[in-house]
Amino acid sequence: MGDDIKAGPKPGDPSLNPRERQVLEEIPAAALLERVQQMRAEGWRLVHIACTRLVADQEVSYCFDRDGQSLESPDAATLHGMRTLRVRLPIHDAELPSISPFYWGAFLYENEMHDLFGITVKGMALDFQGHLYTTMVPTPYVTKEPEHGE
Amino acid sequence: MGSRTVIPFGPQHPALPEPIHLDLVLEDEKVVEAIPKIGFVHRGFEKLVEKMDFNELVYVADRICGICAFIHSMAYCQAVEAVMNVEVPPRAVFLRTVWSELARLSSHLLWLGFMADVMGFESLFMQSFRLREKIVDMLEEMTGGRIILGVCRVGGVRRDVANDTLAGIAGRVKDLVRDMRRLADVFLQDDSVKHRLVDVGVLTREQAADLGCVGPVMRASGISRDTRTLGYAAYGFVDFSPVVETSGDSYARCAVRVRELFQSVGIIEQAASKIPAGEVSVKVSGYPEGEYHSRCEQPRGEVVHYVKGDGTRYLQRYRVRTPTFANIPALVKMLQGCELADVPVLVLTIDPCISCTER
Repeated sequence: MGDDIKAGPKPGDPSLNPRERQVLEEIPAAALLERVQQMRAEGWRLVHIACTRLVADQEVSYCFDRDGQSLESPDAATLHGMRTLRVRLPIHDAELPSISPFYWGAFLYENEMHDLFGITVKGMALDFQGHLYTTMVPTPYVTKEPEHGE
Repeated sequence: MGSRTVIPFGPQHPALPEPIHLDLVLEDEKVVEAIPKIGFVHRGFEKLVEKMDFNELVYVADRICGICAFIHSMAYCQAVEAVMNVEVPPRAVFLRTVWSELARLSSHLLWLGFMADVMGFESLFMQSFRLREKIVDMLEEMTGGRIILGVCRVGGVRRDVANDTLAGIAGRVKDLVRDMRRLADVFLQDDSVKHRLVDVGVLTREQAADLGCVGPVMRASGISRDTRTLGYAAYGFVDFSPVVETSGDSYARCAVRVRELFQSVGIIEQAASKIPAGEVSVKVSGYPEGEYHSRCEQPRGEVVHYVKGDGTRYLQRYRVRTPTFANIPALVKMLQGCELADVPVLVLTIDPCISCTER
């Protein structure tokens, strides 16, 4: 952050509404562990895992960040960069390996994937056996809610 | 090896403002393993994208939590603004910054009070809450809300604050510094407090990095990372640097939060003095199409609001990763090897916010 920026904003200053550069990489589910292992070796931090139900399938996004370093230049400490690995899965009977061997703390995200999206995650560091969340409708994001009176 | 006993801790416990459960595996009085359980108050806020449009969801984001409410709504708005390429007016981003820092002061003072209470230091609890009340009063004067402010909107903020009022608020916050320093002296110098915190629940720098910790928990272990350095809102225009401690114990986590009180006062002063004139919101038309992970620094650490839109008024996905969610694995590691009597204090040192975590 230079002195000119510290002086205060000017109209149209690009520093006012900064957008992070966020890179998306779609990979097949079979390549997930190998790619996550690489990310780990390169020093990426697991930021979060997000599942999204689409029309015909669902996607799982593994988001990583590398400690305030930009994707273009590891020396630029003020620009962060987030990289997302994305795998596509069927809505039902989806299965993924756990990334716990490389990111131990992933177990909460993975249990959430199981309980809310019905994805079977093999080899979680801590498996709540479907009891992390108690929901009225099992796997609510991929199960049609019953109509009133059903 | 002594015989092992499993003791349930929570979900209802005097030390816990909100429900979280731990199965503590003990050998004599030493914790050898801790198995966490959350999910007692999961509300499914994220699923409301099916029923509420992207503008209505601001109110949902504001109500995820009663401590970090404003920053949730700001992070959500920033995500939608990024997807829709909305340029928020300069005055609005400065107001967002002032409210964020007041929310941080309120949260840290609340935590210090809870911490004092768990240590049995009731007068310190009272003093922390006395100061917090003044911060909450200021928020009410500016926004009409004490906890849930309801002032953020996609494209800016709902309320403007007169420059004299802002300057007055900055002055009153500065006047609190003397009281905060007295409070800080007790938390950082008092023998009975240090006895409970020093060398308890050490999390090394390597562990903090491996476990993906965020916020004061991470910075207390020597990692200088603060999402505000991304420069969102008006943080690119104020002078500050992350507060870092290196010992990684409960005392360091407390010290980071205490020092961040003074940091927030400095940021509020700078933002109030540099705020430009102008509009506080822009008209937003169209619907979000695309995706963005918006990150902000909550009092407890980095929060991520992910939105994905398909060009309709309803989002395809809204996902919130809260700082406590990221810090629970670290809590599990911290508890291993500690004494049973230290568990309540240790659990509090991550400043657990369960309503955030459960969403």
